[in-house]
Amino acid sequence: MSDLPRHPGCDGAVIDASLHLLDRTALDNEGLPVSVIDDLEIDFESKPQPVITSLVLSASIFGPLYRGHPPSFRLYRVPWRSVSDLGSGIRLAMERDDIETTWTERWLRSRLIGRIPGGRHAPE
Amino acid sequence: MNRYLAVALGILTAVGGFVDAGDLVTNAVVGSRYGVSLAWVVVVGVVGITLYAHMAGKVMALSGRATFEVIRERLGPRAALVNLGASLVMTLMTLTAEIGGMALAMQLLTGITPAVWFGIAAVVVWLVIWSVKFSIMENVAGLLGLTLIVFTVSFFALDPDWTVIRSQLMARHAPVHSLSYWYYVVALFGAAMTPYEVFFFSSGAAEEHWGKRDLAISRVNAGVGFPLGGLLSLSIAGCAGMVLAARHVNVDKMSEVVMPVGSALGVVGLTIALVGILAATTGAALETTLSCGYILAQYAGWPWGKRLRPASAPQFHLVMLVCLLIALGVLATGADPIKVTEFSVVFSAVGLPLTYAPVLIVANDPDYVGEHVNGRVVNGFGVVYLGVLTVAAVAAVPLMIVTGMGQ
Repeated sequence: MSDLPRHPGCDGAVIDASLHLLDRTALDNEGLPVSVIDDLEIDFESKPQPVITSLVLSASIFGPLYRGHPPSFRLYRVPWRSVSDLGSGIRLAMERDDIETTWTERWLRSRLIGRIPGGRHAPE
Repeated sequence: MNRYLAVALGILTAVGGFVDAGDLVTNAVVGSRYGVSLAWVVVVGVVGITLYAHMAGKVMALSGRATFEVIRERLGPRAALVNLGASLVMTLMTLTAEIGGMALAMQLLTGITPAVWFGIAAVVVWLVIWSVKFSIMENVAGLLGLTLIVFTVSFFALDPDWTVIRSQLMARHAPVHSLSYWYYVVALFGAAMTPYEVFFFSSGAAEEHWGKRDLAISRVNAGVGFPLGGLLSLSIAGCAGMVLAARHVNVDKMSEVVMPVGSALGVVGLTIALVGILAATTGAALETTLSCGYILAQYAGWPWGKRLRPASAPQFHLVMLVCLLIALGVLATGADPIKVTEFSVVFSAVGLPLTYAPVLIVANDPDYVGEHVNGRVVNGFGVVYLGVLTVAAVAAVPLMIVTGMGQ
């Protein structure tokens, strides 16, 4: 994000939310993909200007098929302060297993893929 | 040694993309009908895929983002989901044809009926993906696939009439008023630029840990691999033009594809050609299976790659397992694998612009590639190709219907 304009009012770069945040891959603290940024939660009451409070992670690949928003308690939120780097992917300062969207991954690992012989070794 | 093997990714991608089961037959069909007068399409296709594969490789090496992540990021979730669906169906159809092609090659080598080989072929593909290192996989499949050079040797051994070849190359007597001719133009172009080549190339670059220093390797891989694939597919068409056209054989079987090699070089040549076909179809089966996993994982933001332990990328491995089972299921119904690819090649043409446009845009975005944004010449060609791709995409299905698949 090096050649973006500086913000005149405070110390920071200007980013375009729809271009630099939405639909980018979210990465865990080790740089492995965890999900995709689906939406943003913005607090419009905040003074002096609105702030992004959290990123909403994509829960399912079929999400885009149905319109409208899932109920609030079904959203996978990640607080903005967990974001550690904005680049071609959005880096989160979170352990993989602490991110809610990885539950399918953990379930598949323990129930299926991890049980097939050789599943826990890298190919050689 | 590593320097010499560094082009293996490009070679495997191109062999899997240009001379897979469907292309083998399409090339032979085209050759037996039109000689080498469609060579211009192969040249146009090779230039296009080289250009775009290198762009995708560059984006991967510099930003760490693979092609389908880029597609979702630039097209948004819905358009990307449409592209994902189309690409997945098309890649799955190709995978089905490859498993069938492996079985047909084994039948020609051993005389045992293909039905026996379907399951074995699928298990071999799965085992390689599950437990063989990416670099070993690409080197073995790519190098064995190179034995298809035997078609080029056969072409010269058959002592072609160069005045005929030259007039065909200039496309002087091309039947430009025949819709079937244009159907094959679109099919060959779609086959040369099949999207899974770009998915595989950019994801393979990640498997190989390409970084900023590897731009030259990307260029060499694309610049050597794809022209080589084009040469092989032209050789197959050229051989078919001389032997099959003269005997009025209407190609619809794998055995007819290798017939010219048999008449030129005898049993030894024939065996080498069959080994090459087995390697090429196996390479393409690996390429398409992995591509199914890559694109779904990249769309959804799941971890992916053979470089990870399967347990660290469980969804990726589950997708590939399911895809192999679907392919086997389709073959079990008795579907003709050759027909399946002919369909897949045409359908791939339909999805082309949705895949290549985001690659072109991101290859110009300094956020992704820093100072290595495309130059003017590359962008000029890139835009012209997007236009051609769009025309091919629009024309593909109507041409298929009107001509009854080139009849």
